Amino acid sequence: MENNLEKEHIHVANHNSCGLCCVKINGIKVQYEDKLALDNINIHVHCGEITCIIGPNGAGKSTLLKSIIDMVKHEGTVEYISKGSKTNRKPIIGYVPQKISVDKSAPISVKDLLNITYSGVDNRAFNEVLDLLEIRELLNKKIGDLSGGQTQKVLIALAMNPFPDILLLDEPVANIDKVGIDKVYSIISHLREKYDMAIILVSHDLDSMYNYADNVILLNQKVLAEGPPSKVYESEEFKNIFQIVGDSDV
Amino acid sequence: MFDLFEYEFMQNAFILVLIISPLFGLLSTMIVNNKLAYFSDALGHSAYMGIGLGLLLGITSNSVIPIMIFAMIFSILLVLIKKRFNESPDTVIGIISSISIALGIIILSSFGGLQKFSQLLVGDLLLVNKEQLLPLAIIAIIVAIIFILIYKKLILISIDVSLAKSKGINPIVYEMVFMIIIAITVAISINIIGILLVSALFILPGAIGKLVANNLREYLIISFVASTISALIGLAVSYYLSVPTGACIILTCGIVYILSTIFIRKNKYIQK
Repeated sequence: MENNLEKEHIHVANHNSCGLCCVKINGIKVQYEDKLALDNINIHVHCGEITCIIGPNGAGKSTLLKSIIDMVKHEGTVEYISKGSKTNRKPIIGYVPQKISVDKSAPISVKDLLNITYSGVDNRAFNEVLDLLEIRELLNKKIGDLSGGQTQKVLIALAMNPFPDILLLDEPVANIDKVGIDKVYSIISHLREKYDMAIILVSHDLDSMYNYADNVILLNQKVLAEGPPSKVYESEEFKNIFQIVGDSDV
Repeated sequence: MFDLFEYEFMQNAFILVLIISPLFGLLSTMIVNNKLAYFSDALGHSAYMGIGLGLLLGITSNSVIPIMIFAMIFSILLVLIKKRFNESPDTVIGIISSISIALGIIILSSFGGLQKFSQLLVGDLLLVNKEQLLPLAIIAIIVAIIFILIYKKLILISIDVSLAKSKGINPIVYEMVFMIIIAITVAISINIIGILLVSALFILPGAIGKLVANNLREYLIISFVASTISALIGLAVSYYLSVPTGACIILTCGIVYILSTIFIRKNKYIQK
């Protein structure tokens, strides 16, 4: 694993490693009939940053990710500003769902799934992703037979083509054992360091996020606190939600 | 041995089977994978309403068009209902399907077209004429091409709608296109092969493929081959035994499915 992660020659994309590229999420508002799910969410995510969204159940964390990929009806915009560019554009998004609903007997192999986005892509890039995520030996396995950790790695590989301006992960370690959790986090950290990727992830794993995230956003329909983990975890809002209202989420 | 090809009706039926069964084999993979068996069945039954609609509009000579129009409306309605309720809309399909059959039968009986009822149910492949084959082949090729073009995207949608959406795929559009090509397939074939065979060929080949295949390529090939071979065997057996062709094809397909189940179980047992 370490060897793969240390590879210097990355061909997946020629991405700007500057920290100046930014995905701007402006004024996202989601209304479900009579319930306001998200209210005026403004987030800026720079390349090379992991931003973690935390909050109680029903806070609108997954809804926010689904708004970014236009899966739910919403107000507000999502735009990408690259270094030196004067105009903003819609970002290329890589999305990794929490889980996928695949019948165990479905005759869909990992190779089939990856072929959906990698067909016509340079073999070098494809091989590099396979090695990076250590999924080469899974290619002929049915996706219904994968473990939680293996599924996440395959989904990350799927999200990496076309190379995304921003990678969204919805509770990536929710269905994974301890060993798998460490691997997934190590991959996510690697993506940030080597590819300078902008990453937003939704997580309930507060301890790990303290170590891995650059920024944390505490969400409960609106942004209650944001900043480095040390700052957010010390805020009154954080203590109110996780220590008084519901310990189960901690 | 091949005396069955001496008759023109058998030659026509043979060509018909070679046009229809591979197409059903292909479509069947997605119907089984996306759990649309009930939908395809209901779509077949909606043909009653289509013919009734045709009679109301004064179209008596060619019922393909009214069946196609109604089947398409039914399909579009279903995609929209699925989106609205965000779940398997079996109950709604059942309700719409039952109402359309009932209305169709009432209209058919009022306009004296009830004899079409049994023709629609069991069909008769052997009555197909040469003039019907060319348009059938052209439409089947167009449907197959559209299906192959949207296949990968439909697979991604079936795995996770959000994932598909994040790749810029509009699930509603692709699902609707798929439903429409199914509706077209139903409309062009139901008068000839009957509802029973339409329903069977939409499910059995895909079910056989799903049992045996390990990846999508195998899935398509096995379903395609199982459908075509079963239909050809069924046609030949029906000729020699003088029994209804549609029923013979369904039985052959059913036997292949049962044999596949036994083969797969035995293989798994040996591997253990």
